[in-house]
Amino acid sequence: MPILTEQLTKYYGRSRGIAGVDLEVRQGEIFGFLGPNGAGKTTTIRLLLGFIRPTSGQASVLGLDVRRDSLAIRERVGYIPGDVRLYEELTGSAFLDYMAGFRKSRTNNRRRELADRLDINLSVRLKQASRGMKQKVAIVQALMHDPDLLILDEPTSGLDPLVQSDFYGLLKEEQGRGKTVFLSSHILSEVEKVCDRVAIIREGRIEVVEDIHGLKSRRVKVMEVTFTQECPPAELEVPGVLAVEGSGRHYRVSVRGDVNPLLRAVAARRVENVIFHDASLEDIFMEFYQATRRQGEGRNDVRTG
Amino acid sequence: MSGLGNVFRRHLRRDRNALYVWGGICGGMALLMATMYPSIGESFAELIAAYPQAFLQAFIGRAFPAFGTVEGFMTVEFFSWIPVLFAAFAALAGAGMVAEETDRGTVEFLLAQPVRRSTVVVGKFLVFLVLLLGIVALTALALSGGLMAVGVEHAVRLFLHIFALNYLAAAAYGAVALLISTICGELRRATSLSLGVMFGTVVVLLVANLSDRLQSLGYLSPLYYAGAPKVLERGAMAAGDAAMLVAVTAVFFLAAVALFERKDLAG
Repeated sequence: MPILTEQLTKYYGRSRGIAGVDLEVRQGEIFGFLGPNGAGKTTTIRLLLGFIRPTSGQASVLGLDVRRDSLAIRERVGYIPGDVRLYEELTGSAFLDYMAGFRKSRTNNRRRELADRLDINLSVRLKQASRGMKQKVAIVQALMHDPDLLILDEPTSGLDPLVQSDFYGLLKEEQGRGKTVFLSSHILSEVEKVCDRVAIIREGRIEVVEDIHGLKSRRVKVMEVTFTQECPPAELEVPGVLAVEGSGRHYRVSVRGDVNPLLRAVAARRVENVIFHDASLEDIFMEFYQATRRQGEGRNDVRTG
Repeated sequence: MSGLGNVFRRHLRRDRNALYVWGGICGGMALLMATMYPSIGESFAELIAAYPQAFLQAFIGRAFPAFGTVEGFMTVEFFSWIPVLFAAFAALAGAGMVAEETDRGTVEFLLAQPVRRSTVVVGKFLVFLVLLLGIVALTALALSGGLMAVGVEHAVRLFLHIFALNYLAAAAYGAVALLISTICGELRRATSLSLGVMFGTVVVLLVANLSDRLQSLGYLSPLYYAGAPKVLERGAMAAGDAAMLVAVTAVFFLAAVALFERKDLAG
């Protein structure tokens, strides 16, 4: 198991980092780690890399204990921190030389290949490089030693959309070569594009771990429909429908799960126009948070699956 | 070893300018003192006699009968302040060893590589010791070379002993600053504190020299063990003083390494 945590907990004094985090990241998958800022994503990653020590609980990376075998773990892991800050006085090439100097594996060919692919000029001093260029250098640094596991903390910040797309392609290729990717992000569309499974972390606790399709099935779809004639709202209140807004000919209907009962109800009348919003992971994310908040407030009108 | 060599090479290359700058300043001052000596050295004994006794006691620490010699002149006019410059370099260099990486955020990249934290600290401290050695050696060469150039015979061995103690005292300040750097994790604070501690111990030594009652306070200052008057009096450095400075360096250095190994790096 590339990553396994059991009740992993970290407190900074009295303030919570993460509490009781259980994670299983499987060999060869791209695993998304979603959560808003301050949810505990970076704390989890720092625990996995041995930057900080857990208050309690266990964690292993590539079958190795994060406390005892941190050095061996880092030999086989590629990492991009959330806030990429490089040695500004160095050129990209000198920076990569320095990083490679700590590793047993040879990196030159792979580095050249990655630099060409990401279109990086490694002779530029990092002080003069753009944020995107620094991010690219960080990507090369993480991949150049052909790691078995990539741990990426918000890796695409600063990259333009084209390079982002290229980067996702790289991740898919790594996956194709049997590598595992642990990708932390708060950009849900990013996770939607590349991940196989997702964990959502909130206030230091894992709320759900699910495959991307399962997570999407939680989504509340929204249908906007315009009838040719007026329609009473009660006709649209069929199983699965959560809310019906509007009146007369125009309605906005929220539905979870099977949409067929709603489609049948709509098809019973003449329709002028209908639009289904393809709910993004963003919607799921927000819905998930709203649902759990409502649950916390003792309301049970929305199921969270 | 490759990790240590990697850290050592990179930091030696990066920080070598410090050798030129500090070596240039300290060496330049030494050269100036050496070339000035023939013109003012002979009247130095009279000059020193005119100094208030309290002043002499504070800055020299004890009376000694060699005012009229070049060694006595240098003890009062040069070795009373040059160790403070070495110590200042050490405090600045030590403060940056860990705090700079954590402050700049580069520590995350560094420690994501398969390298022990202790290796990083050892590598950086070795670079510091090498640069410090270079600065002290340049200063010693400038002083001795300058005196030779103006035809003044002097006790080279005696000066070497004084410079060796100066080196060890500065190394101790570097180790103290390294520990502060490890605790603080913020460059500006680590630098201020390290310089504060360094100048604080200088003041403590001055105060201790002024009063017999407070004399034992002087033991707290590494510069106490590097005092040139003692060396001049004995004709050589005291092994106990050197051992004390090595011990202080070792204790603070090992404490810094142990702390850095266990420290949570919040980035």
